[in-house]
Amino acid sequence: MVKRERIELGEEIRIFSPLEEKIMEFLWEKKEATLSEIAKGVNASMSSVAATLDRLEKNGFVRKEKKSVDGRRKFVFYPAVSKKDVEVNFVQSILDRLIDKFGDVVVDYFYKRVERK
Amino acid sequence: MNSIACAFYCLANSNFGKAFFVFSVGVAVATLGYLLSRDSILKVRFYIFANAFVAVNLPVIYFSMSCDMFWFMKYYALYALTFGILLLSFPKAYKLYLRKRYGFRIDDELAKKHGLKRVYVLNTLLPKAFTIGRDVFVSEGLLELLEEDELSAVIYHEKFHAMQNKLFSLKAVKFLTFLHIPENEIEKAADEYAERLVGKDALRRARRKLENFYS
Repeated sequence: MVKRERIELGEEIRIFSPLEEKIMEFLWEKKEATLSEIAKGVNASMSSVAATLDRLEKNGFVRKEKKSVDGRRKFVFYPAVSKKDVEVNFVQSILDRLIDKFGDVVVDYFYKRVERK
Repeated sequence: MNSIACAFYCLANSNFGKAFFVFSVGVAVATLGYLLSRDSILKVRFYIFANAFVAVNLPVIYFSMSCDMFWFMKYYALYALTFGILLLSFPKAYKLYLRKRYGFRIDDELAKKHGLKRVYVLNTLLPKAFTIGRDVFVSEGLLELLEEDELSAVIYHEKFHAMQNKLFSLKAVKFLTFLHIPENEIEKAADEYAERLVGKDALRRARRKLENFYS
């Protein structure tokens, strides 16, 4: 689940849940797709993809538009942000919070780390 | 004099004895009609009549009882009042929750087409259709999934529920009258109503699509 307010540093840092990630990767690659195309593309059930898309849209990662596809009104989904932006925002928000809380320690560490290189 | 004999004595000697008799016959006839009728829609109508008669009969009994033996009527009145307030405020509260959880828009075109006052369209891709009180809710996901006639079948099914809820939410009535709610019958009647207007096939197709979606 997309969590904006809390960062969990578990074994692996991830921005999206597995299904969210699959959907976003699919959309970044295809640029636009309908619900059934996405469900087929990520090989998941329509209902779980629909629920996940709802969440992604609510959090501003996906944008939808009503369009006429084969004479029927359908939603077409687009990625609302680029992969790069998502990653940059994610890293920034973690670092911002670290710096807010531990200021000097973090800056010191970065300084040393850059020097080491 | 035991309590039942006392109750009858009270009724017979009050001004409401005749009213009580008339409404009791009403309850009996409607219940009999409910049990005997084969047509689902008729069955639901009889059921509503039976409930209405019971509801009218309760205050009649209350006012005709002068003996204290019927103290429980007072408690019932308190209970009915509490539940009445809860039941009346439920739809508003639930609508607020839906607005927060999904957000919705009002679709005049759908409302006009199906002879409804208002149709709400929830902003979710999951296909949903339900009725709260007299308001019919569908979702963007449902509009996308179904063909026009299938959608109409679903909306007419919901419209039937909305019509039954004209006075009071049908499911809420059971808290007041304690009569069993034949939910299967109501669903069947709603289906029959939709089938009558759009045809059997459309409703069946809609149901199959929904089952596929959620499987």
